[in-house]
Amino acid sequence: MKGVQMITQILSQLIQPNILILCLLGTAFGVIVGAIPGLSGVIGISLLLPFSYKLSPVEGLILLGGIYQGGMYGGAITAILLNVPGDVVATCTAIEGFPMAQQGRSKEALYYSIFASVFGGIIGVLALILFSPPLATFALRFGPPEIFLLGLCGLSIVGALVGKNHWKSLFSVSIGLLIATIGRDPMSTLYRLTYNVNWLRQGISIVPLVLGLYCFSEMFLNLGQQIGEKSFYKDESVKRLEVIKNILKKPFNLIRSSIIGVLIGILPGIGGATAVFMSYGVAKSNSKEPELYGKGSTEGLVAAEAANNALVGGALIPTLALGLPGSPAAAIISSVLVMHGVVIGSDLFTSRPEIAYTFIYGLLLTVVAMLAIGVWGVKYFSHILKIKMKYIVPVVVIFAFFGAYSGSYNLTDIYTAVLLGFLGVLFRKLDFPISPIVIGAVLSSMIELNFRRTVQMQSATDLNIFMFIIKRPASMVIIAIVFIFFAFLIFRNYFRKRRKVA
Amino acid sequence: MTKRGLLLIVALVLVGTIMFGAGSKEEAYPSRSINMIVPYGAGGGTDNAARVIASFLEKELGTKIIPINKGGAGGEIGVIELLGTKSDGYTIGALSFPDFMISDIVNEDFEFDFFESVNYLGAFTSTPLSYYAMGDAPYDNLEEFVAYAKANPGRLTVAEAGIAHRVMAAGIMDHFDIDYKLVNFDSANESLSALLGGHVNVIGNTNANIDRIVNDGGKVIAWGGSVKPANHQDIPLFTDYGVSVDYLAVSPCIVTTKGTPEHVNKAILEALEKIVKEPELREKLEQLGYTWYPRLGTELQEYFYDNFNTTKAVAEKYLDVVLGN
Repeated sequence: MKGVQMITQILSQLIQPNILILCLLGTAFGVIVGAIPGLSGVIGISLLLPFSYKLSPVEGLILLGGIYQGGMYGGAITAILLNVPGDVVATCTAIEGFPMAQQGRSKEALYYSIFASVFGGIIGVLALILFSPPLATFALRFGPPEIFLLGLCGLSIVGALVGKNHWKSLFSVSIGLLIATIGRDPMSTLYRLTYNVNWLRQGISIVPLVLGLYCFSEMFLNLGQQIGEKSFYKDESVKRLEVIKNILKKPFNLIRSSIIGVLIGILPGIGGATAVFMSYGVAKSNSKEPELYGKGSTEGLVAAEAANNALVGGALIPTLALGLPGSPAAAIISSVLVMHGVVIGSDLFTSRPEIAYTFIYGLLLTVVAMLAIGVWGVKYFSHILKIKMKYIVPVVVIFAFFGAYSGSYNLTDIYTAVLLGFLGVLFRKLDFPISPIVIGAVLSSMIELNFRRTVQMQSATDLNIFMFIIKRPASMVIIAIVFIFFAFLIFRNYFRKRRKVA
Repeated sequence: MTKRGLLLIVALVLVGTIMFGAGSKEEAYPSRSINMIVPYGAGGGTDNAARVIASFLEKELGTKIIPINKGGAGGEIGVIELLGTKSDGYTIGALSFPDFMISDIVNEDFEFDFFESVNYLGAFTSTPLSYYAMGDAPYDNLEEFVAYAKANPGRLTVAEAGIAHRVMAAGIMDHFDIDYKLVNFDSANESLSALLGGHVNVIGNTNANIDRIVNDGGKVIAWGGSVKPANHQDIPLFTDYGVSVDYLAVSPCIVTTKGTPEHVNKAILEALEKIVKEPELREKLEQLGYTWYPRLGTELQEYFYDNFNTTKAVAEKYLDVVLGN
């Protein structure tokens, strides 16, 4: 049978010492880079990119694929232990994981996130292996109007996230949307809100934003507190099987979150942060225990971590199937192929099957590697909490400085991060939520640029903008889904209230 | 050892370091690794070309060349960054012509002067831009496209991914007196997604991507340059219809900032003159899809300066198109 023959051939190529070592090293490097505040999988990939050119195409791909996969988990470590997301994709992990750590459940949180990451990662890679062609074609249906609508949906998630004060959340998300517009507008080439200051012309990129709002503000708030001598470590025994069982007890959450990760991944150019926020928001809206969110909900934690690892496989679908990268990290990974003279495009699987198939099956190995590293590491990661705060804060701040710099090698990014740290402190003191700022900043260009593209497209027709969007079948589907979703929510809340009254 | 004695020794060491430690005026270049600023994202077209060139250049110069990506604002950020570095030859740039030239022409805030800011040392490729459509489009070449545009003014959408494409569109619209709408995308990949998904009618893209586009069901409406690829001998050329857009062909070029010592420029130029003869360099760049067209030193400068006036005329006449909405 040709299928079995191919699989054995692929396996024989994969189970080689050089591939396995590169897979392990890449994933480990990804976990470390993901954990360090300010560094992310993308930065890790670009750091090792020159090295990967010296390897064979498959070796290079597996190395970078490992970094991508590991990086999605790594951010959870510092997010849970220190309330500092190592990477923007771990923002929601911090929201749920840190309260758990404060309750002395840090090991539990770490286990939840590694297993969720593994499940999500597997689903992402399986989607890549089994459903690449249909998913890639599906992704092409999403043009600027559809992505604009999706961005708006993403914004609506903010409402789900913060229960209490809607106005404060609205303010935060608006600040986020605004901050992202600072800099040069790619469509008109004009500078906005830059006041002729070169530092502002570069724009406020997401790395210093997250570092400032979460890491620096957290560390600033810790200054002067009496917790210098405190440490949060609590020795708890956690049964790993129990954690796995609990995750699987809510299969709908796990599968839905992973699917969201895959679907956002297949959209060209859109990265992990969007997937995490969507998945987390949807999970909270559909949750039977929404009041736990923000206080240590394992459901929310699983939703976030599954989505960001599922995105890895998802983003590689259009990358390998069409040669169109599904995320910035996937774009860099695909350049490995380009530099080796491999033409990326829809015939990659037919012209270079030995590379394409070996890589996608090799990604399964990266998930295994991540599992091994993550589970083995949990024992040691949580020991970080044994260290007193007065030692942790300076070390984290130094790493954060490096992280802020490494984004684009700009010293000004460090200043930006520090300034935003002060802003973060202000917001926290005034009880304004910070996550919506990040959500707004992440979604800002997606919404604005795609709306403007839609207007450009619409200007070639007779229709006004509403009719233009509605007449597109893909947009109709999105709008319909949103309506159904909201209707469902409204009915459910209505019935819940009735039950409470009765 | 008295305290005074110690101080004296430290002072002598310091003076000695200052006197003899500073490099002499013409120490051998290069004596340490060189940074190469690439004002575009990692993994993109210019970045790939720059890295290939760097790998050959570093062997010839005998020192590591470290590419540093500083993407953003269509390359403007990285260029300004480059201008702010020391002109000692240890930071060079890999710029993508014609984008920075056009930015200089149309953007008042861009503090780069096409003639005064950098020394153009060498470029190896010049890849023209072409127009592509999907296979089922009701026009097979530029003439039919123009006819369709005249019959349906303002109805065609053409995706563009950068300021050079907009100047190109302005030039075509001017030449044939037609009107179509441009839709802007951040990158060539995104505009290609839009074409394949049927969201736009035509895209402007470099010649490098012809195989991919044809494989995915596209066709060439008008090919830039004069050389048709071996496996696509029957495609229409822009010049078949009396218009040339080759002045906008993409050329990644190696530059140093003005003020860099002459012996440094000379050393880099000599190295470029050596590597241009290596068949492997040509092979690797052509593998990436670029069109081989080496120009070094004054030859490159003349080529660039020649294209400046043509571009300026079109860009200024159609400023609103070039600046987009």
